[in-house]
Amino acid sequence: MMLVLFGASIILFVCLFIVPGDPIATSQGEGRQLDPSTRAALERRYNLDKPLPQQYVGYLGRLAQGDLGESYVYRRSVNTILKEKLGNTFRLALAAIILEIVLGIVAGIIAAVFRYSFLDVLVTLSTTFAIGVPTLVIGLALQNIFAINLGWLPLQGQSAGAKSIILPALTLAGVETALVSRLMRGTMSEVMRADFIRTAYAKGLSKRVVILKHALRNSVIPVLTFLGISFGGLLGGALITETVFNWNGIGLALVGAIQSQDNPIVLGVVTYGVAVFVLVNLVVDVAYAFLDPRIRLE
Amino acid sequence: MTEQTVPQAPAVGEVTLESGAGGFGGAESQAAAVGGITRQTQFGNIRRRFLRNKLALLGLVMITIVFLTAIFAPIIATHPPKAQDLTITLQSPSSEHWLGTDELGRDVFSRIVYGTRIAVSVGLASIFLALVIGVILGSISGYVGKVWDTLIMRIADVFFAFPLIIGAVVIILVVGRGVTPVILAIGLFSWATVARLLRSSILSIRESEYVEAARSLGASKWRIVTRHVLPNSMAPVLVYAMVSVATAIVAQASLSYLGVGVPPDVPDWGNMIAAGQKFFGFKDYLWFFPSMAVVFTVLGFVFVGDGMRDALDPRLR
Amino acid sequence: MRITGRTTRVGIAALCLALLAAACGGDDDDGAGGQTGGQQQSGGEAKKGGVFRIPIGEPSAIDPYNARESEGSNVTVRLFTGLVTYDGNNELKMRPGVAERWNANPDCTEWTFNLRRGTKFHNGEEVDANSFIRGWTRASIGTAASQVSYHLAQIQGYGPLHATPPTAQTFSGLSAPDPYTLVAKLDAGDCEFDKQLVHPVASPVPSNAGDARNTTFNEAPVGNGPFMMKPGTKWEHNQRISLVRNDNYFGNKPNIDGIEFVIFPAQGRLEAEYRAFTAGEVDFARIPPTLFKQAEGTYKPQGSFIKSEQPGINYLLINNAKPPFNNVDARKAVSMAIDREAINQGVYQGSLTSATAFITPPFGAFHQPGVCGDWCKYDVNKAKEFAQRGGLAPGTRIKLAYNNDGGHEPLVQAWKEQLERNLGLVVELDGVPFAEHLQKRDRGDFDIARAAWSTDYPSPDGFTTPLLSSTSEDNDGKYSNPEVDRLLKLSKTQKSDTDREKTIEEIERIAIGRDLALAPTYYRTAYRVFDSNKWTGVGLDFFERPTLETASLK
Repeated sequence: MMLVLFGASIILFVCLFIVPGDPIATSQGEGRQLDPSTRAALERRYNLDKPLPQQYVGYLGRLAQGDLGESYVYRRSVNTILKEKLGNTFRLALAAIILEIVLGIVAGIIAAVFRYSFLDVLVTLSTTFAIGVPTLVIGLALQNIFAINLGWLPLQGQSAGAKSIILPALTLAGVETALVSRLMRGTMSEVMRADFIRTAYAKGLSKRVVILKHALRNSVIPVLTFLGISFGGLLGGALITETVFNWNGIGLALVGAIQSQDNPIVLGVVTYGVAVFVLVNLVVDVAYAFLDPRIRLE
Repeated sequence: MTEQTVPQAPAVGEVTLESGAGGFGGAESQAAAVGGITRQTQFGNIRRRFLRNKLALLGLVMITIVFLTAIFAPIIATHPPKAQDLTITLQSPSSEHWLGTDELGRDVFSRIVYGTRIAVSVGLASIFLALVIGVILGSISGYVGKVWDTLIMRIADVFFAFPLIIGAVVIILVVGRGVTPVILAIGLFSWATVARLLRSSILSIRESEYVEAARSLGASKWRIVTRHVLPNSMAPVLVYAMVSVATAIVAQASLSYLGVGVPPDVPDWGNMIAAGQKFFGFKDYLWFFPSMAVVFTVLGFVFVGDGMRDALDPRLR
Repeated sequence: MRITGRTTRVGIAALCLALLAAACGGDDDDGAGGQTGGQQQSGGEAKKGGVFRIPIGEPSAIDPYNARESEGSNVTVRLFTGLVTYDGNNELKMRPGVAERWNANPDCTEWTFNLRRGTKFHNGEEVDANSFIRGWTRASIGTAASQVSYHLAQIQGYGPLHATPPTAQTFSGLSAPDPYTLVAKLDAGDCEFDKQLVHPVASPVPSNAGDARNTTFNEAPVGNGPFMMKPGTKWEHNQRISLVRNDNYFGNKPNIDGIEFVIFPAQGRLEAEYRAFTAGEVDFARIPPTLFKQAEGTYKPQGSFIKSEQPGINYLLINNAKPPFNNVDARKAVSMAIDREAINQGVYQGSLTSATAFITPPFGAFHQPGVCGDWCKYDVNKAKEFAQRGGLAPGTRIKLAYNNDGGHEPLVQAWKEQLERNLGLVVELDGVPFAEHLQKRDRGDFDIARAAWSTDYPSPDGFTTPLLSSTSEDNDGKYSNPEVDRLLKLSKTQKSDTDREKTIEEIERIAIGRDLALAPTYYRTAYRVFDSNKWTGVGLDFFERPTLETASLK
């Protein structure tokens, strides 16, 4: 896993410094050229006057201590900047995952239990449809309907308290909720036809107990795995959703940093995102091995 | 950072495969155990099942419409897509301009029609790239195994860890904007899943009975790989590829929306959505129709992909 | 008492102003800038109170040592008052700030400023000449890596001080013979030096400011201005900055109790600001260009719409250094082949003003409408004629560079289409993010480019020298004319405004009228909306900032 992180960081680092353009001049942002002395001072400050390999080593060294460097534009520690925005990203990720769990799993269960009924068809069709609609379009559509036409919810930003998070969370969760529900339906249908379920019915257990206790427990594992991975990805920041809704999380910081060539922030966000994703994957793998008796036996 | 893709349906398939609960490998190998003759009939079965699936058929129709539109764009479009007319900017749909005009007086309908070309070419090309890289590396990894397997899988992990959009943005930063970098970017961050899928598939087929049978009958390694292993293990890859085209189209539109896609005067749905968003609330048709174009195309591929998957694995029905 | 009807209000306000002016006879400036918008009620009648909420993007800095873009400066100028101020008068004359009087020696190489006594920083410390020396030194020293200290570069000793590493710790050219006198010696005579000092970087700082890396001061600067940081608060990044009125301010005390700067994310910020305004969440906002017409229709009748001519200029930057545009006729051809008005009406809904000169209307007497002559008029036939004369044949490939993060796509696409249609050129659009775009321009990697320029201080020299002087680093078009260079140098040493005016006019006639070094396209017009139901006295000043010092509740 460390290898992955290492590999990813090298690629990123090299890419950013191959990029044509001059991040120092960029931070000037005004139209005037930077005088040589100021330029020299800034290059010295950000180690840009050293050869690339040496810069990378320095970067790794600081990274090992958890220091993501200093933003070229704001001259503040990247750690501090990201920390301020992490809360927003986390809240959004949490809201999205809750939606995925609640809506997705419930819809999936309903569809599986009432297979081939109207409800099932409804769920299946709508989830299939939902998968096809890009997050971008979902976001724009929701904005248009609820914020502009109906005026029930704020258009963007976080200032309206709890109301602000609804549309972004729905948008972010949208596609994955549909996937979760389909997955749930799939695994649960399979499980429901298994022998041990029939045995449970034969034993006289009520339908409710059978579903909730036996079927659910066995079919939820792959879904939880999926959710875990999804959460890892969400924690990394939701680029499109945050852009559409002006949600001040690390995804938005990344987009802005790319525009202004603020490489430390780009590096910081992506490194963090990859690290979190890899970490969560690891946790999920372990948990999965733990939960699935078949794996444990290997 | 992982949102906005059409997350790989194989996320499902993958899990099932890994856990050895069956899925593609299992059904395939059992069905194919009897050898070549069964395979032909089986293909017929698959095709029949697919065509019976209404959604899949619908998807096929939708994809065909998109393809035809791309090919016959000059005939279908009512105006040249780049022709500006500053006297009729921002007009609502009318009989002259079926879907209205944009901020430079260009005909929206014609731009959407020409937009299919970019979408289709980028979608197909990028997935083709991913397939080429992924199949080659995945087969080596799955069939040759050992050191190569580990090496390739580690490299795949690195690419896998990069969410598609982030990776694409980085590539484009380095290479510059344009159609080729977009194709390159999307392809580079999609091959990893293809390789992984193929590898899993190959691994389960490799040890199956009929391959053993073929080997015992004296078939050469090459023959085994090309005649038995590969064709049977390609199934999940093809399903993934189908859905991936959808993902690629969405990714490309999203990249344009973020400002790192194809240049702005090119008629591209993502560009149109980004430009149209400025007029949110009072000229909604500007972003709505390109969005619908994306949805329509994507759904087509999703339906087909779903249909393929359902047809290939009867156990899910 | 509510005064209805904008005209009535204008009339009454004008009357009050006139009476007041007559009564007080030329007192310190009121900071009344700009044009139109909410008319100012006479100082004595204004209601006190209220907190004005205004949206900004996250500043890169609010500490005067490096406040360098409009977002940051907007905050800094409320917290600090420099030696001089500017009230938007037509003569481009500076008004007293902390300095009561000032003058220069005959060749403008030495300036003496006499400071008011008894003015204080927000923490009670007295402001004296040393406060200014401290502030200027703090910003200019090499280790601070300030990107705006160049405004002080003319003072003797700047070089060694600003070097990396610094070879001096002070300005050799600054001295304070007594606590209330500041003397600045310049390397070369500049009769407009006082104007440079209007920039926030020339602010005084208290003795506890520390150096430029003192984050406490970066986040909560202690100044001497009409507002101060709300006690106990500091810059809440990406959220807000809260200021309250400084009741001990030496100048005209503001009417409002405080300012709340609400910080919006950069992406789609204009739209977000405007929407926040329509939802009543802020009292003031910029308007996305595409919503201009709608905003005007809704808010102008209410008196909430501000239209203000600003000093900036939008222009077509032309690469004079290489073919095809090293030929003056080719340059003129391109300028005549683009239809400024059609683009204005079609793309910008008539919100722009097509330029006929390079030095813009806010510069009063220095503005020469029509100096661009035929070259700024749309004339396809003439364009073709000049193109042929200038060797600009159909089929010539040219690169049109622009920054793709400023919403300029419609503009450059329109230009491309017009140039291709009218002159048969092949135009390649090259859009990259702003900073990279500037670097391309610097390298000469363009044939024409979309550009804009504005100035930090009220002098046309802020335009002419940077863009027309052959030794200026900002002259990306690489226009080089020894005569113009000579006149530029001359203008700096002319103490008399009339003389300087003549020189500048001559420069413009040559560089634009004759040589068309660059093609002016539009004057900068700024549009804002503000809540006129609640507030009055809100306009835009010369620097495109809201006039919060004169705003008040209705």
